[in-house]
Amino acid sequence: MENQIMIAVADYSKYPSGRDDHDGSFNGEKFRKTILLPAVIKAKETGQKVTVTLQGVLSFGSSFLEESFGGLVRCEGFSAEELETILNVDPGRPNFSRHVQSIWKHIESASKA
Amino acid sequence: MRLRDNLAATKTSKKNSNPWKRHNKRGQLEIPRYVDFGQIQQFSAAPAVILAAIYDRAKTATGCVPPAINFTSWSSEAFQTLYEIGFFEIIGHGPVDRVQKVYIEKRDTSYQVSKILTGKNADGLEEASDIISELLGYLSVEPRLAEVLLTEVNSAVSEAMINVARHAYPQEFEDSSPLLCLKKWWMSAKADIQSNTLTIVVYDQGATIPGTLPERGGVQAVLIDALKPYIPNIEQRAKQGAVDHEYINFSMREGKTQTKDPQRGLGLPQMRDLIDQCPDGTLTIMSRRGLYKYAKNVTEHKRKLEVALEGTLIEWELTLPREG
Repeated sequence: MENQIMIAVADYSKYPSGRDDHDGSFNGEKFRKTILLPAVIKAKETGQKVTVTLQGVLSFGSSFLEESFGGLVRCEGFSAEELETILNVDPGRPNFSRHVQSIWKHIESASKA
Repeated sequence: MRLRDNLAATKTSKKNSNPWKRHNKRGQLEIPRYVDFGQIQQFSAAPAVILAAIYDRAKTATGCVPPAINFTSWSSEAFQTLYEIGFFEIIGHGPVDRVQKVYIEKRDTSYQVSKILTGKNADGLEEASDIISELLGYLSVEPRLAEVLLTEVNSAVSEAMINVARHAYPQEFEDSSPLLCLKKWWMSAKADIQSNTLTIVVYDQGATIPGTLPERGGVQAVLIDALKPYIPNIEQRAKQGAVDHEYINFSMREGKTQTKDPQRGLGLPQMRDLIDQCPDGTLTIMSRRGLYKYAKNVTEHKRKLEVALEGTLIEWELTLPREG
């Protein structure tokens, strides 16, 4: 799909966790800066969408999710509205839907802070 | 005498001087300080993890093996739990033939305890996940449910590991503690076929939740103001640890943490989420003199502990559905 930039979190790590290097190697800041942010910037420039799939991930710590996705607002200056148009989060399996909800909740909270 | 004191592992302990053994005047070998496990009948995962951590520190501090005596007279459960958790390896005995023989003789196959893991942050998560996965297999949990449970457990355990990395061992605690700070967590898990339960324990020897929470973010003032009408002399009693359970309870609310940042303080509430996502279970947090317990569909319970715990212990006990 040409209009989509696909990101599989499991390709980064099946066990992503924590905010930064102090918390662990596969942390949210690293994921955001090396994978998510470049994709979101490119998508904004080209009018594409970024689809992030959670399939195959075996850990959804709130620190990782907040730092990765909330961090797009807090640290990278995106607005929640912008991200709603650029970002699509695919749960990958039905019972991961609540983690998708958490991601959007973190984005919303970060935009209100 | 408290175990911690008995196995004195202070910063000033002399390495390789072997404080655990000495020769008496007649030249016979004596063990001046030891703990007798012979009286212990029941031994769950939580005390086993705490014990292993204490011995781990004692061994690290002195460079020598603390004694474990008369293990053939220990209760089967105490021996099996400590053997499977890797206690003998931690203290340097290794799975030698004599210990292994006793294990084979005493082993009860209705439960299994995982080898203890230690780490400083969430880099140990994959290994922890492998342990949980193996125990879910041991309990014959249906594979699809096992994967869901594994993900939920990993999420909660990772937050516990991160909490240790971020909050358990602040520099001022390390500087003021007379005991050696290994600055890590210890983790183990137990699967019990009879009760169909999976118990996961994460422990640290750090500054505790009540020991770190009040100092920052104006938490102490807020909490003490809220409790003033109900508890006489609240300020004085807080200093004696009488409201430690209230501090833990407070920290379980989303956004309550050591900082004022709203994006922080999500980790401890997520530990409770694991219970909500499972068919049934309880979360117990013990930290200094506070105990907090959360059971699914039951009100939270909190109380003061009679004896202060060194550090923080988090235990999830998940009751799993039986097949059919």
